[in-house]
Amino acid sequence: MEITPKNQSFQMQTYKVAKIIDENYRIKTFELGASFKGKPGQYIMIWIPGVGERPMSLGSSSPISVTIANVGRFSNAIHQLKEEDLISFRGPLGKAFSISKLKTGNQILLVGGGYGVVPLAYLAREAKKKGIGSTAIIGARKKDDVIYTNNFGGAKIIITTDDGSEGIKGNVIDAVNKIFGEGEKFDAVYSCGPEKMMHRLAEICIERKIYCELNIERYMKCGINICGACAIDGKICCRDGPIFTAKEALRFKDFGKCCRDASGKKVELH
Amino acid sequence: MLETEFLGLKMKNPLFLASGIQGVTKANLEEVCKFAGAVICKSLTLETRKGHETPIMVETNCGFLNAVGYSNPGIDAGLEEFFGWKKKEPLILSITARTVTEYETLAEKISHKIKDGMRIDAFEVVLSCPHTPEYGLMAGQQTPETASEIVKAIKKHVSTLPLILKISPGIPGEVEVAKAVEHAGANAIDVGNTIGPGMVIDIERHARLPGFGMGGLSGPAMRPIAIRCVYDIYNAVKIPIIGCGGITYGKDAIEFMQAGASVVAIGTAVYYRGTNVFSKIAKEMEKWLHGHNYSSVKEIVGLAHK
Repeated sequence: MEITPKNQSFQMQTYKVAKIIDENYRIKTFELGASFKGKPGQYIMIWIPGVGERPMSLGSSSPISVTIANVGRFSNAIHQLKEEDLISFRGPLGKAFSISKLKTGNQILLVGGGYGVVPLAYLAREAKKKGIGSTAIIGARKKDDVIYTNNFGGAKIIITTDDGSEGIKGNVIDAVNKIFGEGEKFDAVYSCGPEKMMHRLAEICIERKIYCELNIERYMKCGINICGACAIDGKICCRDGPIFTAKEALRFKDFGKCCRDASGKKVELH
Repeated sequence: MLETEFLGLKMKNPLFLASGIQGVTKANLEEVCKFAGAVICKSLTLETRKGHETPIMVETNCGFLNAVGYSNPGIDAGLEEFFGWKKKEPLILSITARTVTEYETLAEKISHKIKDGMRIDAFEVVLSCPHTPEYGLMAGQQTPETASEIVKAIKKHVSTLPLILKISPGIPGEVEVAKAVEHAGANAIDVGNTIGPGMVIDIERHARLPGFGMGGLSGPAMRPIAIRCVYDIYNAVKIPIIGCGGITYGKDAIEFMQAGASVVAIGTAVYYRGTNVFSKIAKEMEKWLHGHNYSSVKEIVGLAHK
């Protein structure tokens, strides 16, 4: 019986950066000179020798791309990369958003906050290939933080900003309530963004009996179901997730309330 | 057929979740109890530790190198996390420390929690991590003198709780360590930890893996070394042995038990075959035992010595 190496997606792979796109003042997209069979919601573990390894949600698989905000030591190191430099990663890893049960003509609602728009835009493009229509509600703090709107494969886009500098002033939950209040019907809802927002969205979808999947973030280390750092209640986020149904997520005591830091210590979510 | 007893603890099968595999949260350990006969939590140290830089694991032929570096929230938060264990499967608390004094402090804290009503079924003392500075092998703890000093110091504070001592196989003098800790009052030996340390170099990046630059080897690659170590220690001591190292299929667990292990622990195979690997291995063991006319798994312990 062959037991190793069992799966190429678990091995470190190295490719050149083919193209870098500036999305806004702090976010860049890195396209690699390679493709693989990843799906929206899956992630790769990017390794920068001497710096570390972190999970990044896929923005596309053909070519492989990730969109990264410069917010810390690791993401700053990635932002220093130039075209033709090398990127190493393991992946695709984790569960993808599921649209296999949907049919041509179905409508889905995508709800994203911050750079949670990345996997949702990828999902909208994949859905379009199946003839599924998407409406995206994108939330941001201010106009400069709204990215990726041209990447949704022509989906209908509703923007909310905290300061009203673009789109509707308010948050995405206000926009979700409004769109449901107007009687619009959706066959499924998908979300990626701040966890307290997703918690509220999950409750709304359960009340309305709409199927809903959420992209939940936890502190991941190994990415392969071993180290347990990313535990959310009894589940291991890197392998059992990061996509969970609203029903599953609402059963987690930690969901919307707390997560674990690098040591495994409980930390309250804000 | 697989029911057994270890240190007076009843188990539905002889399969432990090894320490450091998942086991960060109580809820996660409860989930693993759907499959495993007993669980060992991730090792706790006196203070909070973030652990080594990622990548913490790298796959190699027939195994993994890992250098997690004892990430854990510290003994106080850890004892709080695992307080209130209600499963029928035993919970083993794993601890490790830099010095004898630190071990004593850990033991005192555990003793207080037990008086507060905390259920811990046994505890494991790890002297054998090959890749964390100041701990285990890197601190030279796996010697007969230091190991027995540590066991005696802990036993002063927690005398009633069964103490399992975890060593790394393949280190010269391991049999002497086993004899010394048995004499010092240890109740069982876990053979054992990962071996090494080893190193992988990513040839595209000319860089070392895992992130720490080296790590302990686990998985089928190390199994013959662990089997030999279990065999030798079984000859030398009377206390029971947990066999661990590359158990992936039922036949591997049976091999360890024939070498002298009363029970076995499983880690890397969770990667190869999923968290329910314990149920898969249990089924494979039952099939083997049945096919060879054994009515209980207890009958095969030490068979290779007869």
